[in-house]
Amino acid sequence: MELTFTPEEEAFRQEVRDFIAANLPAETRDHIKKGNPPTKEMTVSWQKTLHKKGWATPRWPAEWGGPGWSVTQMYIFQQENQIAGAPDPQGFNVGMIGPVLIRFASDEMKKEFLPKIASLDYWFCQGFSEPGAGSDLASLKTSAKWDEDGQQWIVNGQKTWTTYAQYADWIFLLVRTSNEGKKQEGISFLLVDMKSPGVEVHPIQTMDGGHEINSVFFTDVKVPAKNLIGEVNKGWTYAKFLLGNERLGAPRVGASQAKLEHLKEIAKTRIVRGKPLWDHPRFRDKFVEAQIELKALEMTVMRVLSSMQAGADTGKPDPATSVIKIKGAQMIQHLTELFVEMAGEQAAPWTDGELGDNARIGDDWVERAAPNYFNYRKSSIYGGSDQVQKGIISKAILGL
Amino acid sequence: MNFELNDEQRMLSDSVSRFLSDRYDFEKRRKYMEMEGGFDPKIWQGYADLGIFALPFSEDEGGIGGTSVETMIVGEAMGFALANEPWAEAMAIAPSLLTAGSAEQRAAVAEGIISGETVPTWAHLEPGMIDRGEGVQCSASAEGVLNGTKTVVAFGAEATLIFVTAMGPEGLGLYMVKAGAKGMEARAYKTQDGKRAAELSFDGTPSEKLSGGVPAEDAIALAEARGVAAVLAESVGLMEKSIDLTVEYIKGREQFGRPIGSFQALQHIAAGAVVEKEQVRSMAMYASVMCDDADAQARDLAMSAAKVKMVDASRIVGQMSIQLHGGVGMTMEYAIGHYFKRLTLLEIAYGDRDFHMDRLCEAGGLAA
Repeated sequence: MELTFTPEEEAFRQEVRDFIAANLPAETRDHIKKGNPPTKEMTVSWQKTLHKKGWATPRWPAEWGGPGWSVTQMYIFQQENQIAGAPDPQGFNVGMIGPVLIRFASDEMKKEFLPKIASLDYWFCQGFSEPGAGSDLASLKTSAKWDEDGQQWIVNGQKTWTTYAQYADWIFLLVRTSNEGKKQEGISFLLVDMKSPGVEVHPIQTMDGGHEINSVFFTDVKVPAKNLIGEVNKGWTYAKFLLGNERLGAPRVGASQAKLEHLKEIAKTRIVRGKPLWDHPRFRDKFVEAQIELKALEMTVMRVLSSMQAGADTGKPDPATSVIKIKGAQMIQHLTELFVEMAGEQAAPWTDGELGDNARIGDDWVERAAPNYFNYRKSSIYGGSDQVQKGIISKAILGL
Repeated sequence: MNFELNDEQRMLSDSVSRFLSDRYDFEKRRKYMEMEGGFDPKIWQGYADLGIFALPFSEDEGGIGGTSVETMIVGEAMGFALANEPWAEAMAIAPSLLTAGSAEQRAAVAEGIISGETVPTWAHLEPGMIDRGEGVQCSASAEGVLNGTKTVVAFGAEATLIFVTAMGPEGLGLYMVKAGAKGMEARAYKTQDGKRAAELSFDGTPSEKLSGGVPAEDAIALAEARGVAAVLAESVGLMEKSIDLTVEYIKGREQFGRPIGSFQALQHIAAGAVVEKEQVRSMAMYASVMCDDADAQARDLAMSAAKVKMVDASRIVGQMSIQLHGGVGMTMEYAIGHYFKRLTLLEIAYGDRDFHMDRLCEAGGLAA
């Protein structure tokens, strides 16, 4: 057992750090450090920079353009990226649909899609949830009917909570292709061009005022037969594989570390009741408690990665990913709470341009405090809610 | 970075677990507890024969030269079995305190521990002590004659070798006293977790001072750090078994015409306990590596972080286990209460939550 990094790994860390310092635009870095989500342009431009370097898809096999890193290197890369305030690689592309195609799709499909997924020439969004199928995902109703004459699928239905559908070129879709037998056994996995006639995107505004999510409607959308992944009615298997990967990326330990350090930096200069907030014992307690929890999370994430490296990656989702999903969500949510508490009453203004050039009240991090707190309530809901994860733990680990 | 055990470590884990499952179950443990010293000397000898006491000692001292990772492996198995013997005193405390001694002292004491002949303990706390290690009143003369009292010394009446923290003419020191030494009296009792402890008093008791190694303060700090790491390791085993026992119980217990384990309210409480236990397992690994870190400040802060996490998780896992057992969880007849009591005593061992929070807060937290 070895928790420290070898000199080679430290050298790699330095290489990553130097590369980011030399290539990440200051504007992007400052925008993200302030607590803003990256814009589409920022994500695309950074991913293209990484792609040119060969670093856009750390977990992909070398055959499909991965850099051939060890799990430790992947971890270091992700951490450095997040600490530096760089946009995350576009998760739907790199962490979800890419790995599904690599494992389950035909070579033809891989060749057609993977390079563009890696370069972000295709922005993918995820069409899983429906108004009637949230935690009970397998009850989804969006249908794909086989059109024998046209040799194509005809898709009808509605997806919802579709993150960044407004940016997307493609959507990966779970569709019902059979109503026979168990509901999980009638689901297939399709790739659909967002420009297809019959696809409509309707924005959903979240309570923080942001526009991340959408409803996507499908009316007689024609999808070529070759856009089916793997076999008909096997989509649930692919979806479970995808969700396991999603949970693995969910904790964003580096991002939380950066937030916690930012919290400390601010606390040292923010004068509250006559002295820096940092010198208030009640604040110090909260800071240290968050740090302890984050250290435990970091160790758990490293354990899971390490066991994957050791060859325990069976392709089946590891129930430990449910543990890190729950803890990762709690962590980031808790940090956003601490920012609101630190902002105090200055967190109140809704700074949506109404004040014109005078929009800012308080320091530059203050205006994102409340919106981020509101926004991050999502993290214990998406990717399988905490309650779904507990259900998985009860079943897969405890056998209840 | 690598969190995997190597082949030898996996074998160690298997052999210790097998040894313990052959000798320990709830009924057998009850018998051991009623034995004269509170444990079965044959099992102590068995540990020695297995070679586990040789793990923490260097080859120069006649040991195997293992690391604290091996101690963690053993500790988890001990927790899982709810073993009674003072294994941590032998594996974590004695080797740490001995770093204050000369090469001859270390080799001589190690020989006794490795062979199973010596049962060591540490008389550190005192009735009036302000905090761990602060305000030592017990005194030692230049010749090593001890006067004073020590409190809650693990197996204080049963141990054959007692390390005593005392204030000597040159400051804090560590002194070794043999069982039955002149002027030493033990007021022995059972502890809440079914182990034994004693109040020890020294009245002109002769001892041998550990000298020729690192300063006593450093040896004590190392023992405290490894003590915390041992607590973490044992608590992982205790939590693991507590969850096993609870799940087994709720699968079998029927109410409203079905096993209560089929109720989601209970399932989610149990799943929440799994999440906490896994976080402690991670911190036990962290602690087992960091407790040997050369940077004492980084080491101590890491131990504090690990201990705070352990306390918080222990409350959740322990209390959940009793709650889900319902009424029977309250009884002496069921194993779960005994696991709960052991966890509770570990929560306060080697510094309670406030002690460790204070240490972290004063330092401004872990190094980023």
